Amino acid sequence: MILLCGIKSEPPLAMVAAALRAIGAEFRFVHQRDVAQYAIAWRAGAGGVTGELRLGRKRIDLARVRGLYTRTMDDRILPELDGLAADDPARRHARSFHEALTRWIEVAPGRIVNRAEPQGSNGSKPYQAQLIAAHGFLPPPTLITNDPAAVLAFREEHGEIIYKSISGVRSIVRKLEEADLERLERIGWCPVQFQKALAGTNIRVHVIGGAVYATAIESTHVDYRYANRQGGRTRLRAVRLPGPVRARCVALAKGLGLAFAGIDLMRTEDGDYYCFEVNPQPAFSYYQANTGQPIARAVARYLAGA
Amino acid sequence: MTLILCEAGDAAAPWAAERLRARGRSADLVLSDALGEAVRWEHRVDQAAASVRITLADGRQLSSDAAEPILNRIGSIPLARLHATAGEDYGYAMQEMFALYLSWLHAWPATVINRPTPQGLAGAYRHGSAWAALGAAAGLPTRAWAQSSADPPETGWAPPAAEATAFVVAGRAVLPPALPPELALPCRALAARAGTALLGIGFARDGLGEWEMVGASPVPDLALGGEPLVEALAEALAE
Repeated sequence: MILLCGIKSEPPLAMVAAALRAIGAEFRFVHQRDVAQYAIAWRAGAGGVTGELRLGRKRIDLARVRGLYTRTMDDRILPELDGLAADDPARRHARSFHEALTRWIEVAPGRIVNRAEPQGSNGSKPYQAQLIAAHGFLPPPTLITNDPAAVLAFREEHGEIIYKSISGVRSIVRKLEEADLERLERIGWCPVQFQKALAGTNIRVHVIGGAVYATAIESTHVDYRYANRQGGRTRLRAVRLPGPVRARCVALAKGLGLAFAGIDLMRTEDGDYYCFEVNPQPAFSYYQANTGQPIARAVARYLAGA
Repeated sequence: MTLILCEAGDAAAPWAAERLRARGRSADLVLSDALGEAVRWEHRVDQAAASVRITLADGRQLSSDAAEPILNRIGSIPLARLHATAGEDYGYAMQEMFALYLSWLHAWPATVINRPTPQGLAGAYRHGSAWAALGAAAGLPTRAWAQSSADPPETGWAPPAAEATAFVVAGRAVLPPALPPELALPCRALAARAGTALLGIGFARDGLGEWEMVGASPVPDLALGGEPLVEALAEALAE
């Protein structure tokens, strides 16, 4: 039995469901919008982890769950709970169910894509950069400071530089332009992350188990994810990475404890591979839809142990 | 010199400083609030190494160029300055500072007990269910964990009361006389699985009077370990 947790219609979840159907794997949705009909009870101890999940009338022995793909949204903003008070029984039930489900996922045996704990490294870009560097990829030269003079010296050393959040929040990359220098003093109250602007080809690498899918991205904008929104253009195409780079990607995902990872690389004109970050919840549907790479099938096969 | 990073109300930190000094090891307390008032930050990451230079308001400097060992008991990032300056960006600034602390403490090139993790700046805080599963996997007699969607959602974050606390410091187990010595090996195994150099492991008796693990913390009350724990800490910090 495989569980797919989240919103049924969300593209990555829907694509994996279709892929599971195609290979004939048994699966069930834990569709968050039906939480009012769900219950879970489990126990962890010397005998391992045991329990039962009820999805309406369907009862699932948790010991039968061999694989799980989770892309849950914040249950507090489910449309079904809109307008309900914090202490409303429906809201309390939703919170309790998700808490018990989340805790079970963290300790359940089987193929979990992905547990919460190893996803944490993505919450600090420079922390994750140090883990990435330990796996042999180059991190972009990075400065985090609240000192404007240090920023100007960094720009003098590296030429064009960009700035972005240190955490995973509001993670939009922007060039430091001349106009920005007028407000540089404002970093004094909270340090900001600056990086050397690298030139080259952006490559998103999806690693699932031992399978690797690399997608080259050509974009008119620094942060290709927002190019279309900002009036630009982005084109994606499947590429094959050199063997050692592929192996390094697999080792990096494994080293971070991630069964499924989206690794953001840049290949420079010199042939060097820099790594910007590792996304532990890759929304791969965008890449699959634009390239035809069978990423959902690889996720399905991993979950099924095929 | 050992730097002890701690919160203002953390009684275990000055206790440890005093006991380390009694053993001839100098120790300097750096309060979380002092870090929050730091006047200058410079943290770099590149392919060669990571570095950090922090200048505190009182002139003290924390620099990776002259890194001292750190006993790290920071529970959360200091918020007073952010609260006063960030306005509607307070939540964002809080996330940014947590990310910065996680990175610079990870980068510190001398011994840090404990290194930070995304789950806690002084080592991973874990839900009671995670400790129960880890303890059982490490071979400790462990109080079983049960949870259901009928329980309040807050279940499991407050650790249950312990009758005795074992410690592991850099692979060395320090057990109180009340606990059987054969628990030392699985306690060490638990700390290794938890990825923490320092771990306090709480035990209580079950209905038959047998000891079982009921929780664990990467920021334990050090005074409970007494002089044997200080000795182990002094050795680990000297490495």
